[in-house]
Amino acid sequence: MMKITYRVEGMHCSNCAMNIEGIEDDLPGIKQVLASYQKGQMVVEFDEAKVSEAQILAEVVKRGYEALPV
Amino acid sequence: MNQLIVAFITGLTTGGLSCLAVQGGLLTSSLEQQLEQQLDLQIEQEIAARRAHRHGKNRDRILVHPRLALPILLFLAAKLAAYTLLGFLLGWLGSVLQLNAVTRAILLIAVGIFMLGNALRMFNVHPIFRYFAIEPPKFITRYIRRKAKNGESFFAPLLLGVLTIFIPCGVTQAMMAVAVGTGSPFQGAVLMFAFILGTSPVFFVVAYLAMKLGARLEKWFMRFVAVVLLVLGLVSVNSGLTLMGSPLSVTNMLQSVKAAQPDLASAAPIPASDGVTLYLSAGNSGYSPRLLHARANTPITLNLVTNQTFSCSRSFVIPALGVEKLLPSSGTETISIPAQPSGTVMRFSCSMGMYTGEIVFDQ
Repeated sequence: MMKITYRVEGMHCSNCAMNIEGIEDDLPGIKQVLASYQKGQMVVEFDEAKVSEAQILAEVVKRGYEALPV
Repeated sequence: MNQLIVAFITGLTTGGLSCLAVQGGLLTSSLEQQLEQQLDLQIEQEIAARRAHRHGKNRDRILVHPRLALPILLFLAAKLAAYTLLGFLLGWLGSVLQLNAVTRAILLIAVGIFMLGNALRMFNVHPIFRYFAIEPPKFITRYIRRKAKNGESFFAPLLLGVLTIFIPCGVTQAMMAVAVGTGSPFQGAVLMFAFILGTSPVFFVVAYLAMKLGARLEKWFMRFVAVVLLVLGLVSVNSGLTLMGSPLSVTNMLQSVKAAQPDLASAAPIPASDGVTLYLSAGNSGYSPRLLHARANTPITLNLVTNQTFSCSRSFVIPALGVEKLLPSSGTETISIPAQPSGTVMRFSCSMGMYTGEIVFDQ
């Protein structure tokens, strides 16, 4: 299990954080996504055997944001 | 039954407008979240459409159908429910729950700062202002996300609707006092329900028209909302300062200018003041005269005269003396003012700091 923090660009309200957290429902292998509009970041806890970091970042882009490792 | 009709009509007329001035910022905040969410959807769909275009698919632009009425209705429903419950508690607990002028002033200033912070956040002035955004607890957002798969956020409008009970306008406070007077939880609840129901159409129409415009103008409206929040925030802070009797409020700074102008047509004919016995008319458009001259170093009697007065000028406050009076709609209320040294300027206002005036001890 891995836990990585990313800086997220493009959030402009609390609902954005909620949209990003929706990744945990759509990608298998993700235990939890904690996104914060206030901090402008997200913390992802995932099983690297089931899902790759690239897949997670692609899912963020699909939702209209950009994630960069801190 | 008559009392309920009066409560409803009062809400529909003076209550609706007066409360919109005080609580409009909260409604704007809740709508702003909804609007931002719709912009997100629009951006997502634009991205999808562009991707489809790249893959040679038909590029039909999917239009977002704004569901603007829903957050407004949620806000109003939450407000209605909260005030009905408050009416129940007021009827039951009596005057225990009445807030004094200082508490209200602090609340007004706090709400004003909240609005100003949100306006600066929307203008992207600095990331620090992001802390002014309401971020619901994670378990709630998870619940909302999973229960409402369409992504509608109802938390913010509901919460903000409930929060309006902490910033009642003068007319609402007058109605709350009536609810206390009923001495019955059921009657208090029904009275507040009738009054808030009356205020709702004004809130809905103004907000809905504003948001229809916003859906078309998209991002430009966000700027507009930010400007509105900025103005309402300043008004709220100013009202709080006025209510505290602070000379720093714009209202009190302008008072000297206003005092030189002719007074409002008095709602009630009042006898002339002689420096020791003062008469002040509390009308539907404010106080008249706005400037009273009194004798220094002498106890003064201030007579407050109302005649068919239903505006928030009925809720009379002298911050320096800690005086708070709810005036009858018609009649005379007397306040004794202890002797004041020469040159004292004593400010008075309605309980939300909207109508103001002053007594100068210079005779």
